[in-house]
Amino acid sequence: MPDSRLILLIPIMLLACAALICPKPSLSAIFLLFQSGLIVLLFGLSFAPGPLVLLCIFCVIVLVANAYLEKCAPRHVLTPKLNLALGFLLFLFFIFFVDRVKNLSLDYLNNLAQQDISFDALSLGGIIFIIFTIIISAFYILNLKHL
Amino acid sequence: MDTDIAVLFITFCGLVGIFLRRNLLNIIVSFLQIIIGLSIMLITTNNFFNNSIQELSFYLILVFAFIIILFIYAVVLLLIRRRSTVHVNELTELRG
Repeated sequence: MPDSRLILLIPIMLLACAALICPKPSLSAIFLLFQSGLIVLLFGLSFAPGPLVLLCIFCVIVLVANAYLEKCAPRHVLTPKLNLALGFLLFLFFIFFVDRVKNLSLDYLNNLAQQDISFDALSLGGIIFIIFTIIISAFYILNLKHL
Repeated sequence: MDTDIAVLFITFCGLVGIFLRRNLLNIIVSFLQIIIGLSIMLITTNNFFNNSIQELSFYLILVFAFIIILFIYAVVLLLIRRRSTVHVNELTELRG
């Protein structure tokens, strides 16, 4: 991919930051829609554009649902101070540790045999436990007393 | 400009949004942002590993993630009907 097209990554990152900062959910969804449109422009030629267009459609669905539900539910205007401090600390953590994550070598993944990745009993038990927990919490939320 | 920095930043913004936002609709937007970062990562790894990731698996990941988002929307609808709020701090029923 030529480097000139990679400049489009900067507005994508800015839109991600704007979607994080913006307090209204519908406006954040608009930012996400623009972001996914830019991703289609950037990667649509080098990869199959079908899933990326599907991602844009998902963003439109989320935008419409957010705009409708935002009108239904009353807004709470709060000034979170501890959350902002935590976000600032996480941003510093990202800045200081991004080089360690970025320079990870992925070459050994090429030699990984396909049959080495298989389900063992522990992971299968973990998956069953997670699904069981999700179902129980969903029943509790839906308040179904006659199971 | 590298794509991995962009992937890390977008996924980081989504994670921070999930942990810091107090509105469930904003949490859904942050979750979708993580999906966008994941899609960029899938495309770049596809180019790196010589088209090893098929298009069908990409469809499956996207549809599965959106099904989870639809489940969260169902919970949001129930909350608006019963409690008329989507604020996370007011949902204290499951706290110990």
